[in-house]
Amino acid sequence: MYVRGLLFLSLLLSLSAVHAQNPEIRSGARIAFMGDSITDMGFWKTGYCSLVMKGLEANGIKAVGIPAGISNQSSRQMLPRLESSVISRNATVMTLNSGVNDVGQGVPLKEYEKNMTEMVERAQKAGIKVYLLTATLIQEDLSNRQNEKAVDYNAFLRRLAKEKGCVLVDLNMEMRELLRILREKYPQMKKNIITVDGLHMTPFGNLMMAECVLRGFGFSASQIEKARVEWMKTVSVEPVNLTLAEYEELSRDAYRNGQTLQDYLGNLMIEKEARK
Amino acid sequence: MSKWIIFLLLAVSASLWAGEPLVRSGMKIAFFGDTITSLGNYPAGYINLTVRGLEANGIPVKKIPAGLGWMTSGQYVPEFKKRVLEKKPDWVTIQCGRSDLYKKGDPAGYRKNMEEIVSLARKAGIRIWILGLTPVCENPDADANKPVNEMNRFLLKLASETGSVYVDVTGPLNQKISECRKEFPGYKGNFVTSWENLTPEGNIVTAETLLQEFGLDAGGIARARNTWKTISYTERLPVSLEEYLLLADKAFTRNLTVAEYMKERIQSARNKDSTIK
Repeated sequence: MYVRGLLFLSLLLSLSAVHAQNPEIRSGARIAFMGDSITDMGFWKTGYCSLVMKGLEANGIKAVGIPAGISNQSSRQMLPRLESSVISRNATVMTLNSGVNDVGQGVPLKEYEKNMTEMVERAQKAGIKVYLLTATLIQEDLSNRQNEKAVDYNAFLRRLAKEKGCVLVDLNMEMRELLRILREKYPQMKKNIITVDGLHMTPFGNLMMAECVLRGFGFSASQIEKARVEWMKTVSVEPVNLTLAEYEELSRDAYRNGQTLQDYLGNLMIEKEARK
Repeated sequence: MSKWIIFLLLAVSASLWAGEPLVRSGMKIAFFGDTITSLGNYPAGYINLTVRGLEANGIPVKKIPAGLGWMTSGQYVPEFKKRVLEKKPDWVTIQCGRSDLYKKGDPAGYRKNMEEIVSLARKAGIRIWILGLTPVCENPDADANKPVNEMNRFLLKLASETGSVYVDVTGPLNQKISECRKEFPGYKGNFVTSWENLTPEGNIVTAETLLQEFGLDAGGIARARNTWKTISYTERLPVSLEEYLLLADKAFTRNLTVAEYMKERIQSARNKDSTIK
């Protein structure tokens, strides 16, 4: 009786978890990630799109991710390819992230507004649920001209989401907050933290983006925690710059230790050793 | 009489030994090939190492990087015309076939297209260096390497029939790998990547082989090696997100990026443990 009660309770909990998600986020959903290079790289192993898909899977949702990010593109290039990149690929959900290149390449706000509105309308007409992602920061310096200029572009997206009934995923706001927290935690760190180059994401940025998107999808805190457990196991590659002289010497050390160079270098790092 | 013959032979070989390298300052050298050649133009790739090696010996040349990733034989002729012939080089090195092998292309088509580009280069008066293909994996007896050996036999024949120079790259690579195995019984491989491309070790052997063929002597190769020491190379280490966050926590407190911190950790750990000081 006690066991049956527990089973019933867990069933109830799991049902409530399923209902916590937006209805379109379900097994069989086809999620197109439309955007620029940030989204293009989002499909790398620890990129935000890959993490979103992994997070869905960790919560029992078997959806299909459709990569639709192309480097260097603004809304000007995305609009004409919406049909081929998203609609004709039978997407049921689209996350749309355009803005950093619009600001950077000087697409006027009026044109940006027109392009974004048209993309949302066309996608909705095709029955696609649209998630609007605000533009991430341009350089990790809130006061620079580009970030100031982006304020109006993002303000427009917030209005557009309301008008068109889209879910707003406010990456810009989250990124500002994360940056504040990290700068407070690491006052000595003067270099980029969330981005590699002021634009493209480090794992901090990708984790932030993936978490925001999942929250936008209606994920609860416990579902996101489930996703995080899987994310932490995800292995990517991090660059280490060596000279060829160092490379050759380290290679010989690896041979001597009967290891591949990658394993040898990995084992030299205390953090990795501590985890074993 | 026999003394005179010996004297003559010695004189001829001495003059050859002391001869200038075949390669001359200002020459335009095109490097045509598939992925391995495309990657060869990276800082630690064989093209760049060869050119830097020549510079170190006072022989600046103009390189024409003409590698195209994943290029298969159907693309050889149009790509060769565009990437090589139009640039009018003095010499061309050709290393083609690994992408065909990887994609299981038609061997007859491969041979026909190789013959065609060699013929085009000859007509244009370009000196041709046909490079053998690099091994698929580091075991020379592995089945995966058998097609490479077969293709190399064809390339050697093509070179001899067309007055081109055949550059055996596989032999020196296998030799180095074998030396590593002997010297380091636990050796796990470091010349060919899991994607069947060349690591910096593999690129160094290829560049040394080319430089030798271009006429550099042991001193010249040593000068080249010396100049290569400072070339930067990015090794990519597998790191989980959990590990990344731990590393970042240490790095950021010292105003270091994760990459800088990893490099520092490697250096300091190595200084403690390495047998090379």
